Amino acid sequence: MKRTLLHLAAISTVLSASTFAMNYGIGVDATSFNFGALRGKGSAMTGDTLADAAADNADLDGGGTGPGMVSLFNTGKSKTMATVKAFTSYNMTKQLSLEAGVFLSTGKVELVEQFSNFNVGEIGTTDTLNHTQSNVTMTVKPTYGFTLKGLFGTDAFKIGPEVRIQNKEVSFKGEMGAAVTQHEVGANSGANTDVNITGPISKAATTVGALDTKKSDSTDIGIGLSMSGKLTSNIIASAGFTRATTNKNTIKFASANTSEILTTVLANDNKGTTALSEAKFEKNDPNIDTYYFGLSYVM
Amino acid sequence: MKHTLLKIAALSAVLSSSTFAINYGLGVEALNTTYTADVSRGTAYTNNEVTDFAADASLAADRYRLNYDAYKTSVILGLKAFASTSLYSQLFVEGDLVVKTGTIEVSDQRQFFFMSDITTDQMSRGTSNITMSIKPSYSFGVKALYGTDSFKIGPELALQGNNVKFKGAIGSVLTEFNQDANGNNSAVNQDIDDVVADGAETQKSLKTASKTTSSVAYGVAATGKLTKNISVNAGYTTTKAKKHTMTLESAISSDEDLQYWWTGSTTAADSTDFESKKPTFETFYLGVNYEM
Repeated sequence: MKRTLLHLAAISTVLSASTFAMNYGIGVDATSFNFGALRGKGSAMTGDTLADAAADNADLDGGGTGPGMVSLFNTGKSKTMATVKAFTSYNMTKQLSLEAGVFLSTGKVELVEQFSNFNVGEIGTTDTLNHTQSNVTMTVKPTYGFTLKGLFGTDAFKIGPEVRIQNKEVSFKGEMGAAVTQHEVGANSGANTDVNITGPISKAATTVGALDTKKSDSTDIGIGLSMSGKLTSNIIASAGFTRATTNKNTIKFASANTSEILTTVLANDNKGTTALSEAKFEKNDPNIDTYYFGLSYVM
Repeated sequence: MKHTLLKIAALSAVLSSSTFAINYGLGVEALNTTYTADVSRGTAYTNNEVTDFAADASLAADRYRLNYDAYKTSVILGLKAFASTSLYSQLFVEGDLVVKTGTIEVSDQRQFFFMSDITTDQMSRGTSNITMSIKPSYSFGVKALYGTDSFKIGPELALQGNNVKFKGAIGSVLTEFNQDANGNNSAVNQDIDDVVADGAETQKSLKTASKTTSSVAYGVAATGKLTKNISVNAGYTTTKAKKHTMTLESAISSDEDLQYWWTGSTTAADSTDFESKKPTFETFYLGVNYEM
């Protein structure tokens, strides 16, 4: 679907150049690129109260079925970047014109997520308490794309729908780590009794997994509105907004992971019984919003 | 600063109506409003590594850490009244008032274990279920537009008001584990498993009272005529707002673990900022106007 649209955009540009009387132009946009997503682990709480108030083992360790950890938050980042564009337009009727363009973007959005805490992971038949850490940076870099606009209006001012086919590169960097903790030999007494957890220490060597930093390439289709107006006979100001829902991004370790407790750091809803080397970063499909304002020179 | 701008805007509107020939109009706008902020507790990592796995003392120093980019966007509706006048043949000034409907809801839910700041570094489980609702209420804007009667573009200043409120609760409970058959006689450290709560969980609800905040946004606006009376406008503004403060309905007393979970600090406080830095609001709007 995306590639077909990409081809259509390219074909329409070529056709327009060879068949119709048209205008050419170049320009520069200030583009606000916004990446928004929902991150989460475990089951989201419903309502505005704390659902897990019961003080029992099943509650605290996630019922023995999960990592005993919940996180859910709205994350994303916005960045204003420069976009260079070239376009061609022609009039279909007196008040309807079509515009096809190609653009190159500079800049990138860097999304940071860091945490260090403890969870109860289901490791074998026991629910050990694990110290987990995550230091992840996701980079989203829009690269190039095509736009198709159907604009209605006069020669001085036009408005209409826009389809923005945008290529982007996504990469991750950072590390995740986990360590099973132990309780020091302490002052608490009594066999087979419950004792306070104080001063937990790492049981053994920490398992640390570096993230795979390779870039993945993908194309999104944004839909929105565009408007343009003439400032002089050759200079045009334009503005627009598009929104695309994109596929979830995959985060993976640089080398295969065999640690179940490290998997509870990586995966959204992993039950802690199978080691995973990759998982989806977002809980839902993320959105990409693009706003732009620009100036163009029509030849 | 905000009040001065408000007065200037009001004065300019009055002056323009009394001195210059002016146009009035009404309109409706779709405003895509984006909230971005940095939310953190504890100390942020300074590189791309996780380096703080260590035994005992160092482990206790890294009892709880959280740092992420908060973000939410929502399309809201705005009803607008405006007045504009021409200062020169190609320079126009416009003042507008936009009343907005719609809400941006930001969720922050957490549940995990952390080391509370108690002399013995006990382990606690913390839980938070927080929703921040941001309701953009109004904006009062002034635009200086350059162009022709058909199309104009130029800078915009807007005083924006938001109603912000929180809802939800936080809680924590000290935890224990089941000591093995060796009890205290064990010569080696014990695995921590079968974690249980040490008593009832302490919970505190958040105050839900709404607070009004305002900030001055700046950006770019453009407008173009479709017909003699109907025009289309678009614009982009950005502003840094003050951090939003959460308050508990009742103060935390003698619950050091809940206190640490709430603020990431041992200092007693029943209020804390949701964000660690000033949040940013960006608004992109598209509207249709009828000029009388």
